[in-house]
Amino acid sequence: MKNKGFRSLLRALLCLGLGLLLGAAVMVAAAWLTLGEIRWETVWQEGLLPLCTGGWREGPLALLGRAAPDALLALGISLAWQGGMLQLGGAGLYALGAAAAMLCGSLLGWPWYACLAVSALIGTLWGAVPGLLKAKLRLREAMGTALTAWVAIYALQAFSSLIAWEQPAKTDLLIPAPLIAVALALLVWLGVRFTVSGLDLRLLGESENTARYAGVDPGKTAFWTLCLSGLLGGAAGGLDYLLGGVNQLPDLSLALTGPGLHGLAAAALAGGRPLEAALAAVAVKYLSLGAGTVNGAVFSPEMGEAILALILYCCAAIALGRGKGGRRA
Amino acid sequence: MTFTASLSLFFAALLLGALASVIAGRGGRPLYALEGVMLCGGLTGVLLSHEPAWISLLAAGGAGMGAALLWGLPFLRRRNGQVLAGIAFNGFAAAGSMIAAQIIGGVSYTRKGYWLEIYGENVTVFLPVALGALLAVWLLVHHSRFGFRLRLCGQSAAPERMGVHVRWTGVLCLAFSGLLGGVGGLSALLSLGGGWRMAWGAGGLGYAAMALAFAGKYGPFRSLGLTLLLSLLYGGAAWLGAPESALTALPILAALMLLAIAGRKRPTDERMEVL
Repeated sequence: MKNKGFRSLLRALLCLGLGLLLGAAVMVAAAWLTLGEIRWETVWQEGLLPLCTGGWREGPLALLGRAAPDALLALGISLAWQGGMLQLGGAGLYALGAAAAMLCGSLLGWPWYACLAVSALIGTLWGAVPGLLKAKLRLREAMGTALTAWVAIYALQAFSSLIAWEQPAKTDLLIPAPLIAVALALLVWLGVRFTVSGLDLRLLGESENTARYAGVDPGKTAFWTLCLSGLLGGAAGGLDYLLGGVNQLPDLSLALTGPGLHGLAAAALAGGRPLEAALAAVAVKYLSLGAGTVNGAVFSPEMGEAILALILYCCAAIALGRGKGGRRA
Repeated sequence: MTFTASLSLFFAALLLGALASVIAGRGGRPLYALEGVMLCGGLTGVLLSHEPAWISLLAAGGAGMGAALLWGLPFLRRRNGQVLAGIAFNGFAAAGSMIAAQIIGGVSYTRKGYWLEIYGENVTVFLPVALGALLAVWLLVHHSRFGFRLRLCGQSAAPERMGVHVRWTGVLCLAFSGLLGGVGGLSALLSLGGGWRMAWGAGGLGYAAMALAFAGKYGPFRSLGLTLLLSLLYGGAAWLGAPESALTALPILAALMLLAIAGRKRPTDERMEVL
C-alpha cells in the first residue's frame, strides 16, 4: 500500500464509514427515546435508507449542481490547508456572499454573473481581515477566521430588520454551477501545483522556518491565501443563493453547523487536497440532501448535521496524524 | 431580568469559560470544543433548572466534564487534529441539542432558583461560583503539585522524562476545564434572551472566552482583568441603549480586538503557541 493516493482514499472511506456508523447509533438512540422502544424497521425504512439514498432523488445533475457551493467552500478551505492554515471562517464568508448576491440580484436587478462576482469580492475583502491580523500581528488564523465568521453573521443579524430577504429570480444554474466549481477547482490545483506562488504556499505548509529561509514572506503569502480562500467562500454563498438554496437571512446556527461544517468535512475527508475536496463535497452534499428526506417525526432534521460533524471528528481523530496541515489542525 | 442581573450572568459565564481555557491551555491542549462543552453543560443545567440550584450546577458541571473528555480523549498523546475535532464537537453539540430538544418536546427553564440575597441585594449564584473558581484555578495551577505537572505538560517537550504521567494529567486537565466550562455554559444560556435557539450554541461566548484566555497568556488574573474590561464594555453599550443584536455581537468583536492587541505571538512565546 505504498500508493499515497490509495491510502488517502482508504483513510477517507474509513472516516466516512465510521462517521456513518456512529451516526446510525445516534439515530437508533433517537428512535428509541422518541418511540419508547427500538424499532429496527423504523430506523431502517424511515432513517438510514432515506439518508443513504435520498441524495439521488433529484438525479445526478441536481446533486452536482447543489454540491457546487459546498465544493467551492471546501476548495477555499483546502487552499488555506495547503499553506498549513486553518480557514474556520467559511460560515461567515458564505453568509456574506449570500447576502451580497441577494442585495445585487433582488434589489439592484443585476445578472447572476455580476452577483457572483460581487459575492466573491465581498468574500475576498472579509477574508483579508484575518489575513491582515496574521500578517501584521502574527495572530493565528484559526482563531481569527473563527471570530470573524461570528462577527459577520452577527453583523447580518443586526441588519436583519433593514433587509427583507427575497428569493432570487428564476435562473437555471444547475448546469453552469458544477462547471464553475470544476473550473475553479482546476485553476486552484494548477496554481498550487505548477506556479511559484503555489510552491511558496506548499513550502509554508511544510515548515514556516524553511519557507522563511528560502525567501518566502510568510505574512504576505498567508494574507493572499486567506484572501483567495475568502473569494471562494464568498462565491460559494453567492452561488448557493442564486441556486435557490438560501431561503432566509443566514442565522447564528450557520456558525456551528451548515455549509461551514460541510466545507470543513469535505476538506478533511480529502486531507486538504483541492481537487479531492471538491469531489468529497459531492459526497457530503449527498448525505446532507439524504438527511432532509428522513422521517421528521422520528428523526430531527439536524440529524444530517450531527452525522457530518461525526465524520469530521473521525477525520480529525484518525486521519490527521500526519501530513500537511495535520500538525496545525 | 434586570440589567445588573444579566450583566452578572454574562460576566460569570465569560470568566468561567476563560478559566476553563486557562486550565486547558496551561496543559498544552486548548479547549477548542469550549462552545460545545458550554452548550452541553448549559443544556443539562437548564433542563434541571426547576430543581434546586446546586443540583442544576452539579449536573451542568458533570455534563461539561463528560463533554470535554469525549472530545479530548483521542488527543491525550498527540495534538494533531485537535482544532478540527473541536469544531466538529461544537457542531455536533449544536445539532445534538436540537435533536434532544425535539425528543424532549421543547426546553423550558426558569431563572428563579439562581439568586442569593446578600445585604438585601439579589446576586446571581454564578458570581460567587466564578470568583471562587478563579481562586481555585490560581491555587491549582500555580500552587499545587498537579499544577506544576500541568504546566510541565504544556511547556516541556518531554514531560514524561520528568516523571509526569502525561495521560492522567491530560484527563484531569480535561475534567477540570470541562467542569468549569459546563457551569459557565449554564450561566451563558440563562443570560441569553427567551428567543434563543439551541442551534445557536452559546452565541460564540465559548470562542470569546478562549480568545480572552489566550490574550491573557493563560493567566487566571489576567483573564479576570480582560473579562472585567469586556463586561464593562458590554454594560456600557447596554446602558447607552445599543440594540440587542449589537450587544450580543459585542463580546466577539471585543474579544477579537483584545486578541489582536494583547494576544499576538511574540518570539518568546514558543511553547504557548498552541492556539
